[in-house]
Formats: sequence, C-alpha cells, structure tokens
Amino acid sequence: MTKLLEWLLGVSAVVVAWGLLTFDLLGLRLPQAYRDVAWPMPMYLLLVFGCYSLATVGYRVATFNDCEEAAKELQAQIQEAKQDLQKRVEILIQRLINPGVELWPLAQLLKEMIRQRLIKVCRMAGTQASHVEHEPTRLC
Amino acid sequence: MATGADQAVGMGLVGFSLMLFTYYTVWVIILPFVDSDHVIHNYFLPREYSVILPGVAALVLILCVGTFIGVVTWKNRKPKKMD
Repeated sequence: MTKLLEWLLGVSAVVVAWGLLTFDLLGLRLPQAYRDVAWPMPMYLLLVFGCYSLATVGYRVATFNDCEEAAKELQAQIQEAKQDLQKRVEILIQRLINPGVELWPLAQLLKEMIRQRLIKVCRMAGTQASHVEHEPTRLC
Repeated sequence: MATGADQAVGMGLVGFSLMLFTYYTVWVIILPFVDSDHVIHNYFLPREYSVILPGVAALVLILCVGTFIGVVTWKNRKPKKMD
C-alpha cells in the first residue's frame, strides 16, 4: 500500500462521509444544527489549514535568528573582494594594451578572433563585410 | 531574534490568522447551536456566505499567483540566439 493510495483512501473516506451527512443519503434525519455544521466542513478545513500555515510562517518570521555581526562581516568582505577585483581588472587591461613580449601572440590571436566575429555579424546583418576585412578596427 | 519590522510583520500575521480562525469557527461551528433570536447573529452574514466568500477569495488568490507567474515568464522570454 503506497502512501499515495493511503492518502487517497483517507480523503475519499472523508468525502463520502461528508456527502452522506450533507445530502442525507442514509436518511438519518439529523437535527438541522448538526447538518448546518457539516455542510461547510470542506471549506472550513481548508481555511483552518490556511490559517495554520499563515500563523506558522508569521511566527517563524518573527522568531528568526538574525546574525548582525555575520551580516556586517559579510558586507565588509564583499567590499574588499570588489576592490580586489577592480585592481586585478586594471592590471589585466594595462597588460593587454601594452603587451609585453610574452603576450604579443595572444593579443594578435584575440584581434583575429574579434575580426572574424565582426565579419560574421556584418554578413548576417546584411551589410558589406569587405571594409571590416580591410579595416578591422571600425564597426560596420 | 529578528528585529523591528520582521517581528511586527510576523506577529501581525499570527494575530490576523488567529482572528480569522476565531471568527470563522464561531460562524461555522458555534452559530448553528445558538438560538436564532440571539443578538450575536447580527454580527454574521447568512450561512451561504461562509462558503462563497472563502471560495471567491481562493479564486482571486489563484488568479493573482497565475498572473504573477505569467508576467514574470513573459518578461524573461529571450529571442532565439543567432549563431
């Protein structure tokens, strides 16, 4: 017996009981007060479940354990990492613009790749690609 | 412990759900056993509304959630890449 089957059986048992009570299929002729309580039961159970969920969420929000020092420390670390990254990017740009002997082939390769991509994009955009092939530093 | 606004919102939610639960319980379970000429019946709508109102509210909620999902999905659609 899988869990799904168990749940389905339980739910259908409850639904059948509710149907019997609400539509009086067994002819029990319960007092009107009890029938008035029985017929909104599905909606009532749904609403109780909703209220319980809302209250649980609200309670857990109110009693959540904030860590103030850890948050501040994290912010400081983020700032530090940003500045570090900024410095590294600047160094990298400097080295790309003024390549030393060891970076010259790499810079050439990058320029060639960018030129090929530009040619492809210009061809797809339908413009003339010839001037890109001769003057690779201008956009089409 | 959570501070300030968090506590206020959390406790507000708890209070609201408690009030809603109490009102609805009185309406559905207690009122049928109270004499029909008692003054408390003036504070509650007819019984049909105890099913219609939450039903409508649930529909509106589902509509809002569906609209939100639709809007977010629409905003994040990307045109096909050209390669």
